[in-house]
Amino acid sequence: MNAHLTHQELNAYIHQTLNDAQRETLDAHLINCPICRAHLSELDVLQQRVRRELAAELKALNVPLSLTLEAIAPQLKQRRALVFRRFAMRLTAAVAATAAIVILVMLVNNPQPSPTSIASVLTVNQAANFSTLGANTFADGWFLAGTAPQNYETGTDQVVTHDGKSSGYLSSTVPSSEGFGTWMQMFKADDYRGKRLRLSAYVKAENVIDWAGLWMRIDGPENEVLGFDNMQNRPIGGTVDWQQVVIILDVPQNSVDIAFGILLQGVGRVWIDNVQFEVVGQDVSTTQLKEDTTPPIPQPINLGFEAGLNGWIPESTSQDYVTDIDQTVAHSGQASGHIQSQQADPAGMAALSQYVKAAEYRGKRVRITEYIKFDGASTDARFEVYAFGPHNTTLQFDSQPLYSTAQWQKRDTVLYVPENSDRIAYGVVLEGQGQVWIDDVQIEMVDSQVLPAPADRSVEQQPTNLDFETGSAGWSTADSDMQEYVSGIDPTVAHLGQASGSIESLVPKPGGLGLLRQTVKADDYRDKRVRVSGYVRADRLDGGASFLLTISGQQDQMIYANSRSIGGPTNWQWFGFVLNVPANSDRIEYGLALRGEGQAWIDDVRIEFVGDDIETSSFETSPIQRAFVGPSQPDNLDFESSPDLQSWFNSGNADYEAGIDHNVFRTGNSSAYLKSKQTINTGSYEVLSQFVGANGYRGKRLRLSGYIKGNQVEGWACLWLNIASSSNQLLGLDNMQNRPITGTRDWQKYEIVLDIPEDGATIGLGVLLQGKGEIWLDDVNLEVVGQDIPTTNPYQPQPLNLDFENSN
Amino acid sequence: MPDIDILIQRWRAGEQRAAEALYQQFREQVYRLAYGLLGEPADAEEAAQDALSYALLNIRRFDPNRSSFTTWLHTITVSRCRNRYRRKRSNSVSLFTWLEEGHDIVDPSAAPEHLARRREIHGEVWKALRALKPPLREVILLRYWAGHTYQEIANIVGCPLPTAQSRVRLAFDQLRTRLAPDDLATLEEEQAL
Repeated sequence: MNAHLTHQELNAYIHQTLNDAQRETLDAHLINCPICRAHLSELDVLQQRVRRELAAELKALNVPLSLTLEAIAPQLKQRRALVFRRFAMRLTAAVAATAAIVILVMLVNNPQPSPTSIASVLTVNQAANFSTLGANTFADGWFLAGTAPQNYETGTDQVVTHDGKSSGYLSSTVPSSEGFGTWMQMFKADDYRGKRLRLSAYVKAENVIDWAGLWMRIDGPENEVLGFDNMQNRPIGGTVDWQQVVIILDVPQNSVDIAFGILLQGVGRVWIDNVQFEVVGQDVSTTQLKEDTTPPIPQPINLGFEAGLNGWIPESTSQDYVTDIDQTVAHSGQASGHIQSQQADPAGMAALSQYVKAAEYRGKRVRITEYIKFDGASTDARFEVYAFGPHNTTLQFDSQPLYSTAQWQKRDTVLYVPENSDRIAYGVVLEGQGQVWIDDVQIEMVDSQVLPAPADRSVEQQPTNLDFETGSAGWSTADSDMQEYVSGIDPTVAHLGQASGSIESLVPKPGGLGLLRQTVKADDYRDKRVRVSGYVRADRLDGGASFLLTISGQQDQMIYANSRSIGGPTNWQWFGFVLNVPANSDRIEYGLALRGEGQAWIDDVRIEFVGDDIETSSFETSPIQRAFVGPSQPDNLDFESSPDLQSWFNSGNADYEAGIDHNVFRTGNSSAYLKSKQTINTGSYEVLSQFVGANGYRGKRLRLSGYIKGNQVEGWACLWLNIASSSNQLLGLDNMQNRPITGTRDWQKYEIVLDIPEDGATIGLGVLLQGKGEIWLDDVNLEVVGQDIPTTNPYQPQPLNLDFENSN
Repeated sequence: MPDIDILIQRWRAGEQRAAEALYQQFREQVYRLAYGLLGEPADAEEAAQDALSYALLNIRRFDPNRSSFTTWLHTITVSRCRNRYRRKRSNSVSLFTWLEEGHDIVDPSAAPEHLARRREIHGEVWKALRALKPPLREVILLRYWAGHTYQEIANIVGCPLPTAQSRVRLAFDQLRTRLAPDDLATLEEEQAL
C-alpha cells in the first residue's frame, strides 16, 4: 500500500481541482485506506460546515432598510453624457432636420445639472433655452421668451377676445423671423403630481407663415423633461378663427415644475384666451410627443456615394438648399454627395449625414475620415461627427470648419462612442451660400489616443515630453477599475503650445481612479533639491483631480509622496512640490490622477533644481473638499482689490476672457469684465463666481445685487445666486431667466432675492455671460433682507391670469 | 422569480420599473456579499449601494456572452469592497496603491450609530473568515457562499484559473487550521501511524 495521501492531495480532492488521472490515483488509495477516508470525510464535514454557517450567518443579517433604490434613483434618470454641457447648443444646429424639430430639441433638451455649483447656474434656463426676454410683458405671470424674442411682442387685446374683456397676443414685429417666440409661464407641479393634466386654450391665428402651437412641459427634479407637447405634429398655421386646442400630459410623482405657453415660429400673430387646467382621468389619452429621431442603419454603407444617396440622410432647416449626387465631381469613383444653396442668401442650413447604429462601436474610439470639397468663401461649412444617446442627446461631438478651396480636403477625427450611445452620425453641414461635396468616407476603430496600460509602462532615463507636444511619448496610464477612464493627449486644450495630457471618465459614477503619469530614474536628482511642478485644469468634477509626485526606492518602497487636489471647474492652476530627493531614491513618478466623474488636463510639467533658499513642501496632503470649507462672506465685491479678481473664480472657458477693467467702472477705479471671444455663438458660457458658506444665512432671505453694463450681448447675461446642499444638490437658483440682460445697456442695478433653506451648505453668486458680447460687473452686494421683500424665484406656486383679465 | 435577462433588456431600453425589479432582486445578495467581505454594516451598505448603482447605470457594459449577470454583479461588488479595504491598509508600495488607499482624500470613518449596530454574536466560521486576508476571504465567500465555479471566481477576482483554485484550497486550509486545531493534530497523528 502506498504512503498516505498528503493533506494537499486530499484538499485538492474535495475541491475537485484534480484532473481525471490524478483523481483515479487518489480513489484507488482511498478505497483501501480508512485513515485517509476519515481524513477526507473530516474535510468534507468541514466544507459543509463552512457552507452552512456562512449561509446562516449572512442570512441572519439584517439588510439595512436604507439600502433602497430611491437613494440612487436620481442617478438612474436618463443621464446626459458627461460632456453634454459643452455641446448642448450645437445639437440644435446640426441634428435639426426641420424647424419643428429645432423647437422640440430646444425645449426638450435640457442638460442635467452637473454636481458642481457653477454648472447649475445654467440648468433652469437651459431647460427652456429661452435666451432673451423682451421688455413688453404686459400681463401678470406671463413672460416672453424663445430663441428670437426680440422679433416678437406680446400684450393684451381688448378688441379681439374669445371671452371676457381681453385676450393675450403674441405677434412678430419684423418681416421675417428665423427663430420662435413664446409667451409662457412656469409654476410648481405640486398640485398635479400623479395626475393627468389637461391644458386647454382658445387660440386664433392671423397670417402665421410657419406655425404656432400651445405647449406644455413637465420638468423633473434635475430639470429633465418628464413630459412635453408643443403641437408640432398638429401645428396651427395661416389664418384661423378661435379654436380650442388641448395638451394632455401626465404629471409624474417626481415632477417639480410645469411650464406652458403659446409659441410662434416665424412671422404672424396669434391670440390666446381662456387657458384652463384640469385634471382628467386615465381614460383620456395624452398628447405626449413621441421622440423623432432618424432611424440608424445597421452599419456604414455607400461611403463613396457610388450608389446614390443610399444610406445618407439629407436634412435642411429651409427650402433654400438642394442635396443630391454630383456625377461630375468625385474624389474617387464616379460621384460624390453634394449640397448646394439655391439662392444668394439662403436661410438656415443643410446637412448630409449618415446615421449608424452605435452597437458595434460602443466603448471604442472610431476614426472617421471624409474627403470634402467646399466652395463658398464667406460661408460656414463643417465636417461633423456625433455620438447620440437616448432621447437624442449628444454624447460626443466634433465639428471642424472647412476652408473654401478648389481642392479636396481630408478631414478626420477620433470619436469616442460612449457605452450608452444609440447612434453615431457623420457628414457635412453647409450654412450659407455655396456648395459642398463629400466623398470616400472611412470609419475605422482606433486605439491610438489611448495610452499604454501600466504593464507596458517604461521608466524613462530623463523626463521627456513634459509639455505633451510630442504625443503620448513617455506617459502611461492606469485605470484601477474596469476601464472607467481614458487617458490621452488632448490636442484641443493646452496650457502652452498645442496639446495637453488628459484623463476623462467614461462611465457614470466610476469607482476607481484614472491616472496619467511618467516615471523617471532618480539618478540625476539624488541628494539634490528639486522642484517638480505642473499645470492642472479640471472640468465637471464630482471627485477631484490631483497633481502628484512620488519617489520609490529599489525595493519598490515608497519614500516620498505628495499630492495636491482640485475640485470643480478650474482654469489652469499651478502646483509644485519642492523636496530633497533622498539618497536611496530609485524612481520619481509624477502626473495627474482623477477620481470620480469629469475631465482633467495636465500640461507643462517641469523638474528643476532649486537652491537651498527655496523651502521644501510639507508632506501634508490637501484633502478634496468634500464638505464646503470656504469663506462665510463674499469678498472684493467692488473689484478694487489686488491681485485682480481676488476671491472670484471663472471656469477658464477659452471662448471667453475675464479680467479687471480700469477704464470702465461704476464706482472706484475698476470693474470686472467678461468678454466673449467667439465669432459665432457656440452656446458656451463663462461665469465669474464666488462661493460662501451658508451657515450665517440659513433660514434667512438673501438679496444679491450688482451693477451690470452690457455691450452687444447676443445670448444672455445675468446675475445669479444659487444654494446647494452639502451633497451639492441644487436647492435654489435664480439666474434671471425671466429677465435676462441682452443687447447694449449702461450700468443698471439687478437684484436677486432668494430664501436660504435650512439644509443649504453653499451659496454661489456671480455673473454669467452666454453667447457673444461683453459685460462689466461692479458694486456687488449680498445682504439679509426681511420677509417683506418678495423673492425673485421665477417659479410661481400656481398658474396666474389665465384669462388675461389682469393687465398691468 | 422574474426572468433576469428580460429585466435587463427592459432596463436597457430605459424602463425604470425594470431597474427597480433588478435592484430588489439583488440588493440583499449584494449587501450580504459586501458584508461578508468587509464585516462592517455601514461599509457594506455603502459598497453595496455603490455596486448596485454602478451596475444599473452601466448596464450596457454588461455582456451576457461573457458572464452571467450575477457574476458580473459580484465582480463589481468585490471591486468596490477592495477599494474600501485597500483604503484602510497602511503599507503601500506604489503611487497607485497609495492613491487607491485614499491618501489624497478625506475618508470619513463610519458614524458612531453605525458602529453601534455591529453585531457581537458570530459563529466560529465567521470569526475564522474575518481572520483571513482579503484575497482569501473573497474566494471563500465566492466559492462557499455564492457557489461560483472556479472559472467565475477567476473572472471575478481577476486571476488565472489555477490561481483561483489554489487560492480556494489555501483559504480552506487556513479556515481549517483556525476551526479545528485539535482534530487536526489527531488526524495527522493517525496518518503518521
